[in-house]
Amino acid sequence: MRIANIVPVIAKRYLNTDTRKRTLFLRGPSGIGKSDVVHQASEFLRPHVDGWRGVIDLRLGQMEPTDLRGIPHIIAGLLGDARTEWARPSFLPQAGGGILFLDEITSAPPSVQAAAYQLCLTPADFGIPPEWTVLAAGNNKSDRGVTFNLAAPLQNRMCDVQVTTSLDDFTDYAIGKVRPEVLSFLRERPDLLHKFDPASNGGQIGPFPSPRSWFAASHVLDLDLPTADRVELFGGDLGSEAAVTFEAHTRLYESMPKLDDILAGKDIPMPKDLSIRYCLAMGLATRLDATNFEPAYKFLQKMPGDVQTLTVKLAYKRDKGLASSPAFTQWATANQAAWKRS
Amino acid sequence: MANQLDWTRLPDSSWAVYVHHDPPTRSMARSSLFTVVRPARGANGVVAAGAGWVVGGRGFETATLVPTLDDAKLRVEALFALEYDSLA
Repeated sequence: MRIANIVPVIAKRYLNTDTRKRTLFLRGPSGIGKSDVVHQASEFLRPHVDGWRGVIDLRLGQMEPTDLRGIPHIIAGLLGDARTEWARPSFLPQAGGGILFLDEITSAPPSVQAAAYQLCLTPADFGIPPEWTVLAAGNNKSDRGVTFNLAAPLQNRMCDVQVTTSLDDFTDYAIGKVRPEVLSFLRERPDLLHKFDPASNGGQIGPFPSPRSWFAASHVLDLDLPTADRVELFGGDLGSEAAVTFEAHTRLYESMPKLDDILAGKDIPMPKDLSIRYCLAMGLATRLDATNFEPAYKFLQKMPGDVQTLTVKLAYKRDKGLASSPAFTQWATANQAAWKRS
Repeated sequence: MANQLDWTRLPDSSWAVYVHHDPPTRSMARSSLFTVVRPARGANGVVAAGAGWVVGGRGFETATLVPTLDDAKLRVEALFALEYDSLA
């Protein structure tokens, strides 16, 4: 399932009392944003559910069975006999509604999975109200994380979906959140959005590009470091191959016309290099709004139709107020071929 | 098949624009209102000839005045393509 579809699926499953009881297990490579979509779904549901408490995130890979089950202690029975009771962990919810998120479930040893099994099957045993749903996430064995096979009874009590990502999904999510250099680079090298090759480094797992590490690279750009340090940090986040090619791209980006000049409506000649055009398109997509679309359109309309359309599409995803600019109508008129149905 | 726009003329000369969902959502309506396009009115509330057409806001933008019904259709179809990701 595309990662872009996960948030509405989680929301719909939650709002149906039958599907809410069955754990949804998001299985996929590390770094594609599985944990992130769970938090997005929580924020989506928050205004619709009274007493929403958000996400309680449990890293099962770092837990022991007693962490979930609780620690036994002795209480006096009615007849004065001694009995054992388990002190429930304080992190398990006892009120309201929300998402109990069992992250890294495939990294949990079998004994912890057994405790998670009861949590998925009968959360009421732990005092968890029915307004809570249990979600899980983990990697495939081929992703080379610390993984154990799920026990069959646990597997059978989950809806196990493979989560995938794509450049369009990433771009739609990341527009306005990562630097335009990253988005324009990935337009040219979509193969580097997520590239994990366990055999590439003599069997030793090193840094590799993933949606998560592209966010990290974007944060590195914000630091405005000397080139040598910047490349080192790119390498630490993305691996050497992606780091070198991305560094070359950032230099290209630095040489392109200033976005501020374009947004101010100055007469800027259109660069011939297609890479620079994509850089400009992504830069504009992260900054266009209702107030600057009209002056920027003087420049944008010199772009090829498909680049114009991509820019407007991404800018609109980020800020729907764009449509109130008169330039929106100009774009719509000039680019009917892009969206008009025959 | 894909989602499609359907323009329905209303008695007061306005147009209701619906989206037909295809495939339909299981429990939801097969179609939903996308926007309303109505002729512009003067200060006295009467439709004024040549005053243009108002494309209704969709919760994220203010209503927009355009000169002709063709312009209104163009605007609505472009918004629909952006909303439903049906750009070429």
